[in-house]
Amino acid sequence: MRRTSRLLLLPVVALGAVLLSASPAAAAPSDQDVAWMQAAHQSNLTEIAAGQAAQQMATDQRVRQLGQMFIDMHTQLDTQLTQAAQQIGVELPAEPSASQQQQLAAVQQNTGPAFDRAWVSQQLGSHQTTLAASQREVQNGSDPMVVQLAQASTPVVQQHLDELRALAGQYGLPTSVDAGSGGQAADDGMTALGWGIAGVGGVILLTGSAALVRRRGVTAA
Amino acid sequence: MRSPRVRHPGVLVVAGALLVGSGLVLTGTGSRADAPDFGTPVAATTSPSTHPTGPPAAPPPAPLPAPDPAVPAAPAAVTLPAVADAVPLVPVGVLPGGGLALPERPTVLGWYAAGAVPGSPAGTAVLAGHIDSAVYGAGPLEGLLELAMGDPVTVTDEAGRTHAYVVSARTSQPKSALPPELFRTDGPPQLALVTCGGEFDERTGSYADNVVVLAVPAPGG
Repeated sequence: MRRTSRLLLLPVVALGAVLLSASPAAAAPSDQDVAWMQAAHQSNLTEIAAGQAAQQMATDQRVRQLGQMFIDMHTQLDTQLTQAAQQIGVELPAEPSASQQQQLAAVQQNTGPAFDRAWVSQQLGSHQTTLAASQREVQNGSDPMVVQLAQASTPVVQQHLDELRALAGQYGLPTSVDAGSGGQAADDGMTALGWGIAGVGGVILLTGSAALVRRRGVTAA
Repeated sequence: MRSPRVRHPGVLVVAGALLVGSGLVLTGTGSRADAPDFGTPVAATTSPSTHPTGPPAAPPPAPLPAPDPAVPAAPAAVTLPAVADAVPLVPVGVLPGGGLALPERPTVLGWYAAGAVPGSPAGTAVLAGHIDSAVYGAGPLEGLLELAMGDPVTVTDEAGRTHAYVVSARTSQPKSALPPELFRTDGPPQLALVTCGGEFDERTGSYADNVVVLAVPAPGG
């Protein structure tokens, strides 16, 4: 009996969930949902801006193509996200975070092949963070519509990461790490000892010379 | 009144000259930043069955890990013993010449973004930075020279999660002998901190060696 009634309730619950998520007044997204939507929106804005930077500055055709793909796909993801946010009354930030803007600006300080490589590295980082955020929403989110958006974005972001890794692989592994130019970390104990000994020697040399000069003066007189 | 008499000024002159000479020789021996090796170096941890060809190679079909391993976000900062503040990290790649692109300031470290991500279940996540700089002075990686086995190293990612490691090895080798295994994306999860050390050449403004500190995931972390 109980079991049957529960089963009967299932479609109602499902329908209710759909209605709830579609009706702006009734929806109550969790803090996790809101945080993910805002972060995902900022990530989309960042990837679109990065894609545009690639169109303007990349020398590697593959970077341009990836950039265009990111513009197209993140625009699409963001359109859905923005609509959903309006529907459930979540306010989205107007621009990428300060650190996202800073990172992109740092990439744009490079030119030529150095830009291409810095761009790929920055995009690897930002897509990794986006993927982690989407996974967290899928696991911990509450609003089914928002969770579904996160779920739908995951393979897209994973594909971007795979493409970025493949391109980075073509640039090869680092063959050297040149990581110091000041010498401040170098122990200069021997140097100090050397100057000390030379200093003492200098004083003795001067004393001896002065005595020699004086003696010669005495002899002459 | 006369100054005290010097009986053998010639001896003093000779002795002084000798001291000055030997002192100057000592100052010319150059300064060094040395750190004794301990633990098993990175190349030795390579299992013969895998091919360390780097990021483009797909990871071998490993036995399935625990369900739903959390995807780490990109690393944001690393905390080292004896360094008061967490050191910020930025994603970096390889330069056209094969060198790892590093942030100019020793106070910011680079994460090799085409390699493993700190907190991921496999591969070596590489963090590197200038130990010092002719322009900006010394940096926090000086602390790598004083680390000991078992010291904690913690990476905080962009999502605010922490990934705890403990130091397991330190090796110095000529810069030309940087092992490619360092950048492997398969194999046991570990963290590599890379900087420079050894003899510092004042004329070229560069060190002879790389210092590589390895850390393994902290038990229970």
